[in-house]
Amino acid sequence: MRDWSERRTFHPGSLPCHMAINVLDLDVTKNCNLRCTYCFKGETVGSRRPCMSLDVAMAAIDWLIAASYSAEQLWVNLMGGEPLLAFPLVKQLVPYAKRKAASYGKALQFGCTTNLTLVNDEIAAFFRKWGMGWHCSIDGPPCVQDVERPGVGGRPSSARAERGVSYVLKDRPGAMARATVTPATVGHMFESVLYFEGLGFRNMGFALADENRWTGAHLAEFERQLGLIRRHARDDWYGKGVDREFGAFDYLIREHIAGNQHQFQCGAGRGTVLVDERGDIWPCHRWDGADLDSGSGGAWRFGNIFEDGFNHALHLALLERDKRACWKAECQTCSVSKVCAGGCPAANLALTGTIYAQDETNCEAARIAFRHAMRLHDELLGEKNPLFMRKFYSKDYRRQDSFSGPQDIAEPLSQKGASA
Amino acid sequence: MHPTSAQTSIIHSTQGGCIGWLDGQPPRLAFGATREVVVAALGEGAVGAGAAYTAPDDPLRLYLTGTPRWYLPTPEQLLAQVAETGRSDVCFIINATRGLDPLDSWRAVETWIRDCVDCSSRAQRPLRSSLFIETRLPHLPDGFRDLLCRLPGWCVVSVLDDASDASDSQRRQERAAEIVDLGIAVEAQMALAPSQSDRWIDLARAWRLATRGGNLRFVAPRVAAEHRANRARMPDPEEVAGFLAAVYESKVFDLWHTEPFATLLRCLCSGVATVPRCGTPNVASIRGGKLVLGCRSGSLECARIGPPPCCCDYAPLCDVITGACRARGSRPAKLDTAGAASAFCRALHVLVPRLLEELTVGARRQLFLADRGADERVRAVAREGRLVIRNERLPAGHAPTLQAGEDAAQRDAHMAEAIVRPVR
Repeated sequence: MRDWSERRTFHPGSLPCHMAINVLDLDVTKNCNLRCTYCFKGETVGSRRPCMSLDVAMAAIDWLIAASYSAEQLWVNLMGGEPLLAFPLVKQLVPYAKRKAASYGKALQFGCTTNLTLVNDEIAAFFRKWGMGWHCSIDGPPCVQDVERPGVGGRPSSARAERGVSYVLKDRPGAMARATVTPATVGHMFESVLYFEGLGFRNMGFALADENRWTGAHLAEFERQLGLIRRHARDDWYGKGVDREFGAFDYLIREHIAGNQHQFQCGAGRGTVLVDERGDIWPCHRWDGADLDSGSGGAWRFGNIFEDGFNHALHLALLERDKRACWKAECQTCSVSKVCAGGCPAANLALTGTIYAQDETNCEAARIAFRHAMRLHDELLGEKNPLFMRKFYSKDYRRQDSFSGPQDIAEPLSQKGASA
Repeated sequence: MHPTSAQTSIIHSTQGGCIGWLDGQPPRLAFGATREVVVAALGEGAVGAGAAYTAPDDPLRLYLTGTPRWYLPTPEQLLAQVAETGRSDVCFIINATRGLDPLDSWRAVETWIRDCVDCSSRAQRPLRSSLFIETRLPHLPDGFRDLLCRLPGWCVVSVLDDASDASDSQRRQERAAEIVDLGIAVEAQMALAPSQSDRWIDLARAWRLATRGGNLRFVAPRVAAEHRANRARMPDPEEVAGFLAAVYESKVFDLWHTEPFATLLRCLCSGVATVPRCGTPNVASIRGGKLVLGCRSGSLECARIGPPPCCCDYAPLCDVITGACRARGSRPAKLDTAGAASAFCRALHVLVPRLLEELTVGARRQLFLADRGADERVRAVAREGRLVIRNERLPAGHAPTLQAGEDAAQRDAHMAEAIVRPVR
């Protein structure tokens, strides 16, 4: 038996009061078995970095349950480092969290952002049993993956990642392949889309990294690649009735149709926070790295779950953040302004030193993606493509996502055997 | 006032300060230092009616006394009887009473629960069942943890700590900690025995750790009413008040999960009428092998009998916190009930003014939000490792519109809920 008297519980003074938190990113370990060239966690991730203890992880769950107030649906995203390096902790934490939340009348859903290289039978079975979602970080074919996401010592990672994909898609066919694009790999984007399709992914998306190194030529290539993907989507997906989700296009088309003017890009620092291995609370999983990159010296930390003194003023400031308060002059005429929410605030902080200003590379990339998304929209709407109309103009369409699947909290009573 | 904000504020003055609440919502905070203020704020009906809590959606609370000689109907018969009441949720409450503990006869209890749950899942109209076990955790029998982990509904293990010495308490805490780490909710009922008053606060802290911040309930010791000598075993009201004040001031206890604070806060925020009392009309028990609706005192009329007279300023709260049963209130009060009422009544005089102060601070925060100008936003900037928060005006022509959007609506809803929590 562990010595329970050594355990710690969260401090009530660490709870927010301006808005409930219902999404928790949990850095279960800062260890990682890959050495991605662009990692936004920067120096915080590496070898022999601290892991979260079970006590901190459990206290973080207890904190979330308290901080969620009356919210009944909670989400926990296991992040890292590579969270599956901490699988022994995950195995104890997930049943604890699910049962604990259920006893408070809440449903808690786990997701895991993983590089896929460690997925095996045991892990896949555990995820299946507890209804956990997958978010797959994979960049593309071996020529991309092995260069941008090498293992320790430069070992290639693509074969291990591919093996992991087969486990994931068997249980979660809607799981997303989330690729990162750098100036070095932008020329492979379309190739990556075909590669992901070949692996069985139906849902994929790209995000930029190393923005400071992007030039006009790289952005021109980005435009060309998106053009290839758009034509592929039009002819081989919508044209043949093959349902695929492509992050940038689908999101922008939906927002355009809905006419949404988002004030916020995401829930970071509002209904979402990160708790790291020390119990420190940050606005999101990117923010501790962004704080470091921007030289903010920990100023963006909300507090610590074990200490009094949650930074309510900071929470209020993030709740009140309004993209229009920081519009650049060109925003007034920007084609994307109607669906732009000002970019990822953590990326903004890391790149421009302020959460309120987006860097020019991301602005231009957004404009390019919007152009292609609108062109695809117009083409498919013009021909009244059946899949397109059902997907974007019908209310009964159900999106595929990384989380659809079983939601167990307990084993059947009739099964004997220790579940603990 | 912020013209585009969904909320405005209303000021209500009490002796404890100004309290605001969201416009369009029923008053959430209304309490002063006198009964008149309570009555004025809540309405005579709410106070005088004794506030029987009626929530048809709540599960039927079925009390089962933990003895090995239960005269229980078969699961089929019982569930059929529950179904006849029109309920689809049932919570089995298994008590530790008269020195007997459900875990001492666990085999029988376990078999019965398993049969009930299996039977329920096979039924044409399945019942949702949950489990509340009150136990002193004398030991952890085989199969106990396994059953708790496999129950389809929620379950709560309520650990009664009326141990006479520290080592016995510690053993119960260790067992509780083991259950808590499985994710099972454990609440601790800590009896305030006068003989251990010097270590009440240590005991409370230990239970908080053992249960990982689970519900903590301070209760009066259960003593036999018929022995006058047992009066000495009831805690001194002043000591209880001092202890509760120490708990409050330590700031490490989540008051919303610590009784009697939680009930007090609910009363102050939502009114006495919203706080569950003895559970009527959602309570049932087994008598003569039959399911009988009604409170544990056996009277369906219990909610209609008037409260025991009390001239205390905090009578409505006092009544709720001590959980005085209406049916019992009409008879001579038992020693334990009277003793507990006296102890907690005194504690109320110490606590309520402070809670009111905290709630006032929370309300002021909200006013800060609501009073911001139409073209102002709070802005956070990190500067030389320090975070500077300041108001900033929006560019001309871009007036903020916190309208219809999902985020704004969610924020307002959450804020309405969050603002009633004490702010530290």
